[in-house]
Amino acid sequence: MSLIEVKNITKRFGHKVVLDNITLAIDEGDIFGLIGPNGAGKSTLINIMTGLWDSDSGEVIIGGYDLKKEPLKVKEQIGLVPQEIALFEGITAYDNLEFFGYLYGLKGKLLKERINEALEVTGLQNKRKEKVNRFSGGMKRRLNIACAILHHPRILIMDEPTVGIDPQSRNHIFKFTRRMNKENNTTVIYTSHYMEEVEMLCNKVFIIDLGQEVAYGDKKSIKSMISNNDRILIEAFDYRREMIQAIKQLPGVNECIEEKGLIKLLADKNSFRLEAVLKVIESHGGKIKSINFEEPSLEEVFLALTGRNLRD
Amino acid sequence: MKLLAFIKTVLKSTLKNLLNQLLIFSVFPLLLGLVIGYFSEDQFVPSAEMPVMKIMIKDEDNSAESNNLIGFLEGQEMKRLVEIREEDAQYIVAIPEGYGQGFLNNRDIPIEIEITDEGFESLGNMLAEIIDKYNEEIYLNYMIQKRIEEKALPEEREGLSQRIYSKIAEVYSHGLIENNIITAKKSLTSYEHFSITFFGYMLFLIMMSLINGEYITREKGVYSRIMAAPITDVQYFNYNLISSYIFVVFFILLYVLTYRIFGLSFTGSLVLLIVIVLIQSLLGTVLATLLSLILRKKASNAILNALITIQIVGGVAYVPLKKIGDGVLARIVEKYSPDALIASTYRSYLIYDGFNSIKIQLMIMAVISLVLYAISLIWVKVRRGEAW
Repeated sequence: MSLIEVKNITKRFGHKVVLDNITLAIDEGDIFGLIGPNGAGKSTLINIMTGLWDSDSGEVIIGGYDLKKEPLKVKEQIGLVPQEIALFEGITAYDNLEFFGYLYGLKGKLLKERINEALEVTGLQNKRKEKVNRFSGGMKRRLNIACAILHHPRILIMDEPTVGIDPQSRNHIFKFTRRMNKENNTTVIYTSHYMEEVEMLCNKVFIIDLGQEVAYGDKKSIKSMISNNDRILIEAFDYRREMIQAIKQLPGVNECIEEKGLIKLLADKNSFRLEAVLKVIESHGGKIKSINFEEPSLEEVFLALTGRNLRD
Repeated sequence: MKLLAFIKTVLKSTLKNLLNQLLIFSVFPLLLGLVIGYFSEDQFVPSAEMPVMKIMIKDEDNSAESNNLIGFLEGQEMKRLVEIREEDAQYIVAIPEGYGQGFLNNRDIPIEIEITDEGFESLGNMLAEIIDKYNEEIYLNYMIQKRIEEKALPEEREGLSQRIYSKIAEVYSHGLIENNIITAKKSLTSYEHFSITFFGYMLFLIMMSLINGEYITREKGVYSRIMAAPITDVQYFNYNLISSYIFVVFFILLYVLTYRIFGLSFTGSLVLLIVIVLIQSLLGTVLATLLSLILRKKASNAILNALITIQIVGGVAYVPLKKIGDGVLARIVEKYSPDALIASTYRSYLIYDGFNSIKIQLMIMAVISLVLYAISLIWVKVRRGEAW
């Protein structure tokens, strides 16, 4: 039995279906990536899994408890890192941690120990007595995480934890996530619209778009969904703009996009011919600098499955 | 422990931002009330704690009757109101020649009261009223004496007269003054009036702050985060309400006690004052909580802004309105002001200083609070699990 079972969840806002019959299961110790573009339904699913919103149909079972029947038992097992900086800005980091510690039933010596531990893990020991409104964006993000791990949750839900922060803080969050998973066997649900983050951290992935499942499973099996495609990177220059459109028309080319001087192709292994692409480039005045074949990333998987970029 | 978490956070947050909050909720309304109260001082009938009137008497009659009047004004009971002096007087009482004869001949010889620059018109009117009533009683006395002389037997006249004089003297020395003091006490001083006006203003500001605080909590995701913890919607609602209530009581007590310490307003029974503060704070907190639940940010802010404007305009315009149409407009403003119930409670407290005078208002406030609380609770339960 999985630690988290989400079964046939549907949610509507008025007539709009924002989650359409979503089913997934997460095992203990997984780092589970929930990815999709903005508005795909990630946060709605998180809000339902944490008991904030009710679903219109379906059920959520966490740690053996039905969320609708025993919501408090479920909530005790979860630590939520919201997408927003959900902190009291007018008080200190310590006071914020104390507040959330009390909510999870911590008190006295244990509470103090856990606060110190959370501050240490997130590298904020020296900032404990500072008011949060004086923190940088990265420090706030880290405190946002610290507040979620005080009670040593079995499940840590991190909803877009790296939005708007510097690379140093981002790396700190990656390290922390791996450490929590490795040392405490914490199950992590990590939502993001940065595919590279999920690719790097997660062992299982659920791709969602427009409230529907696009792909679900471990990374390898998801990539195999588009295994008939080769990923070809061509570095070229001096070509005319209409060349991209011409490449797209070639047989076997499933997708062609241009990004920072690189022409990225998703091509069918069976019908694609590289010579045809080289001819089109030459006929548009282009000069080729390099050609590389790569395994598709999750970004490309999303592109292949939905026909659009994740951050469109 | 969860309730403690809410209360501690509100208290810490209040203390850490105390200077700003003091400026907004205490210093600003206090200063406005004090400044406007000071400049409107002579527009208001004074209360029982009114200053003693400094009087100079010019006796141009020098009769037994005029000496009796001076004796009355110098009497023990009048010392609470009047101080007779030879110079630097605020009021000059001129007893004209023929004053005494006027009683015998049934002729009206009016006493003139001149109010100097240092005097107050309202107090001068009160002095004139006291002297008028004294004259009425003296006239009555003469009439009774005349009848006794006409009708009673010579051996009965003296005893009868003595009994009647002593009864009248009793009325002069006690009832007349008390009557005037009670009349005066039924109005507030300018400080008292504006302390109540700006109290309403402050209360609306505090309510606005609570409502906006709740919206920010939701907008910033703090609400979602709290609700992801093992806490029910009803617990959250109640803990939030209790911690907000403490916040409201703190600032309201600060406001009324500041006035009280300076002796300018809220000077009646301390126990009653605290009871009023506790009950009306409950009303304000529950109302603010309900508004934040059922209305969107813009709508609730618009409503509160409108209420503040109506309340403050009504409170400040009260004095000029009082002079129009026998004070009808002022009474309408007083009755229909958004803070009418709370203001009338404080007014009754200031004037009568007794539980009986405010018990109905307190009961109404308590009942309204309970009804609003019940509506809020139902709303929380019905809307549970819905997206805000």
